[in-house]
Amino acid sequence: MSQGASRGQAFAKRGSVLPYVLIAPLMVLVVWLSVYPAAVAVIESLFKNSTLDSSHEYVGLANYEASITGAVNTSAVINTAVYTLVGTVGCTVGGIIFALTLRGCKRIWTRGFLLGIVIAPWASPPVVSAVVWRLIYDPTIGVLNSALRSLGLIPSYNLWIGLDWFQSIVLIEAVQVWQLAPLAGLIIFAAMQGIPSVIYEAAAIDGAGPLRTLTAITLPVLRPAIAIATIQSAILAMNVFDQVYVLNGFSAASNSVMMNVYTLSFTNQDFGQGYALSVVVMIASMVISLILLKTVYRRVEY
Amino acid sequence: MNSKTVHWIGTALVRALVTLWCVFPIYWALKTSLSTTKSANAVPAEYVPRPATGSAYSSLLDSAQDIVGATVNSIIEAGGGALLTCLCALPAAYALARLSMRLKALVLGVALAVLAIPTYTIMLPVYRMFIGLKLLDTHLGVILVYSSATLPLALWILYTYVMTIPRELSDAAAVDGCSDIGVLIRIVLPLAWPGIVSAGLISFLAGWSQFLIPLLLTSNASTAPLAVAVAAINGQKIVPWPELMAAGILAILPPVLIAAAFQRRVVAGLAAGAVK
Repeated sequence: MSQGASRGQAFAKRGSVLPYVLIAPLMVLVVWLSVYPAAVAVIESLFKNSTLDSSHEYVGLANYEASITGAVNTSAVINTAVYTLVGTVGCTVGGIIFALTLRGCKRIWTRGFLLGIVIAPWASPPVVSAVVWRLIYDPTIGVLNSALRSLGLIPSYNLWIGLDWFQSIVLIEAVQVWQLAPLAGLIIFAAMQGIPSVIYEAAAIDGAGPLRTLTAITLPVLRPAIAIATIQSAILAMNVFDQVYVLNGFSAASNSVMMNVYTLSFTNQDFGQGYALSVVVMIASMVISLILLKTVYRRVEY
Repeated sequence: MNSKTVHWIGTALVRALVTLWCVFPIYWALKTSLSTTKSANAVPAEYVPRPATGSAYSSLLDSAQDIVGATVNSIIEAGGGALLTCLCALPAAYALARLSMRLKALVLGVALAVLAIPTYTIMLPVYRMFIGLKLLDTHLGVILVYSSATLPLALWILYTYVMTIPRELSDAAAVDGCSDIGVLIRIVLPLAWPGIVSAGLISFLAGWSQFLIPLLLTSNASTAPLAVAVAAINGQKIVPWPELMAAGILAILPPVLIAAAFQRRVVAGLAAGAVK
């Protein structure tokens, strides 16, 4: 038994192999199927790596240059920037609305019922819900056209996706927001339950109205949770694939970067460029996470 | 109208809109799956199936798409992934939370850093590695990838959960002559049950939702899950909407019902995972 070991660790002999045996399966899987492949992607992105060309020579950053220049690739980068912006704002605002609505339910069963409803889009497989939205958006038999027409809001049926670039992107991303805003909502809602009610009682005594309570207490206190929800939404939106693939195929007008990774690697069989582009997305995800963490995240102390 | 009435109406309206937004697409899939082709294609749209029929489900069963097989594949792959995740994450979480060891910070750091790697970045190397290992078109290959993807989050959920178990309990067991493994099996396993359910559920739902991973790793119907089968029907030239939505409902309802039934465990897991 080691001298001065902290309480509860007193019975673990120093130098025992047991802890390492217990973490081994996890570490083997994570290193084998996450860390190692990520390292391979980074290294291989510096080499020529195509089934059409058997040479495997070092090409420096040429794959990076090729993967983000060129008309198709540049438009995919721009599309993805818009997807990410729309998705991040949509999920964060939607998540706050969901969380406030859930918090507003005082009765346990109303809250449970509403929670079950809000969780549903998040639990649905994205590719399948995208197929459902494809039916909703359908230009001839879609219910969106039918409903808006019978409400008198549109003069005639619209081709929602494929005609106007910005409208297509926003409507495709709306499907991802439908999927992901509940996740943001649940993260923020879980954090709300940790706010001590004393703060609200104090605010009520000071005569603060609902709006003032929201802007002066609830939102500032929830900043860490909102930051995490925002970061998750941004990363997932930046990696958008399923919804674009189902709703508009590989059309250049709405192509995302992740769809380019797919075509570069599996259609063009140019793995070097595919690796390079996926590494760009990985680095961009990390940079955006850090920026959001620095700007939105604040530690809160009661 | 006094302000209380206005407040009541406002609240009811927001709740109704939230419900409509979240549920309508799922209702629409269900409604279409119970419609005849004529009713599903009606202009203007019909909001209830007239007449309601289960014919789309029976013709889906007779179609070339092996939907039963795809459902079984989804269950095996998502379930297997969740099981493997829990089997690897619980012992690791126990070791990190309760046993003295070197490199503790490194292991937790790696597990968190891995969360930042987009799944698609690792898919190309994994795909090429699996060709050599003959793991393409196998359930095991898909299960391994699902598990490696959900392990970091599951480790974090279980680590924070095991930390909440009072140390006095394991200390007392150790005094009574229980080994470290004994403490894991007799004390931690039963007490960490809610955390295990959270981690397992979130892993299962994540696996069930995957599309691109199984699309790459499974090229034939004997291992392709429901999400891939639904996308295949969706890709047909003339889309049979009632059948497609029937397959969609098979893919949507199980995870939605499971998430609603275990909502507290799901939210607890997401909350624990978000505190990273």
